[in-house]
Amino acid sequence: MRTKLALAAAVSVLATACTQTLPPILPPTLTFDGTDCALTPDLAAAVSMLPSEKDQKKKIYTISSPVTGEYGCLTQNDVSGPYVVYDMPQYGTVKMIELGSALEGARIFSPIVTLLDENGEVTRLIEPKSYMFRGNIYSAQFAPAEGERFALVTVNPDLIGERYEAIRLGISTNTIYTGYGASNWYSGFETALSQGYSYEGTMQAKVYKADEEDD
Amino acid sequence: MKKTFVLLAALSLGACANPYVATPYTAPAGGLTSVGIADDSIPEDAIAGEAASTMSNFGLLGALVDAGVQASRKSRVNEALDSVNYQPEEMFEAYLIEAFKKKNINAMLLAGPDREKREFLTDYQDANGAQAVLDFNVTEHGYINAGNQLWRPAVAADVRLVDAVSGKTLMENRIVLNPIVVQEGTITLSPNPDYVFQNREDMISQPERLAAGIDDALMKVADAAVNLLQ
Repeated sequence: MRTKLALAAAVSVLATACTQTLPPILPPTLTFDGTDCALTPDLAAAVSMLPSEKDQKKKIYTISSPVTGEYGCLTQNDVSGPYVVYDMPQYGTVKMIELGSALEGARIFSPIVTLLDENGEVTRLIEPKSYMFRGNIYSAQFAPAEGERFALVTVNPDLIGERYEAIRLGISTNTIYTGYGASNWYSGFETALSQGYSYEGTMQAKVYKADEEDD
Repeated sequence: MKKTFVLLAALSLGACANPYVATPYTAPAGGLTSVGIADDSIPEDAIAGEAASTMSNFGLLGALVDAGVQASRKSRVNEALDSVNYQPEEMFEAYLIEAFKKKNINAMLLAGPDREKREFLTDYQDANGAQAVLDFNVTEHGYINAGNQLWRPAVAADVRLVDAVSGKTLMENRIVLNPIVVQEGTITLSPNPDYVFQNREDMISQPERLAAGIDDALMKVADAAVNLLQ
């Protein structure tokens, strides 16, 4: 009985601290049929970067978006692929935006980000060399400038066929329960990551509100 | 049952650390053409940290370190590095200057006193004519082991670029190579698998390779910082 209660408590702590869902393991998409792709992004269908109702009071919130051919594709500079376009919050209301692709079980979307004005004209290309892994997100950070409204994410073909190989360390905590309370015992582990850059995957936009917007 | 607790706790620990809020790069008017690099970029001693037991502390790398064992191991590793006269700062700063040169940015070293603590400087006035000052503060460098695992290079650095005239922060980031616990928002680099050691004896018996592994990690961190200035 005591063990069951302890497990229930542990599950409860985890459930309140964080919510994690495990996506299915999909292989990298290494080719893409660009037939009938649009030549300009559909700005009317842009994903809003405003916080959802549950994120209204958060200083930092995250929006995840699948990038697959099901939602349309774009051909630009002789490259065709799925895309997602974001409608960024109004200038001055965010400190910065971290936009990147999430490591999945066997793949990671190969992104390139271009910022657009309200008419869809390019204002800035986020240089691919500035993309870094921040934890499990291959991302770039930028502060939207005045007049920049949309963030267009398309495929960076240069990485397709390559793999992200990395060694990651971690700590697990073994909680030991006694009649007098609980104590934690830490142990480390090492894992090797290997994901293929892909035409399809998941984008994650992390929005950091400006200080004056903080609660 | 024990494994269930381990999994639950690991998920909780990994997902809930406070995020680091960086300042993305903003180029100065006319573009960045010259940078002064502040002195004392690297601390004197290397670390040799291991996730070990309870009664421990988290550092920037996320290492949990048993203080007594750590002190002994760190001492032996630094003695080994001293035996080959390892002083990485000169190499590191020269590498940074060369990395800037490849981007057509003229970089120079700025003379200054050593830091009292491994923190950012508070005064950036003496830029020696450079457009901006790069405060590259390596807070930890050395080797780390997740606990009964292999020893691999690790480096943590806080990096800030400041406009020499306005004093405005043009970029600020935290870069960590081979962290044990990843802090959200920090740049995470993977260690080079070529530099791996089985145990302390393996490390101290190969001081030149030991030093080369730290150099390699420092250069990766330098490259990441320069690539942020796009």
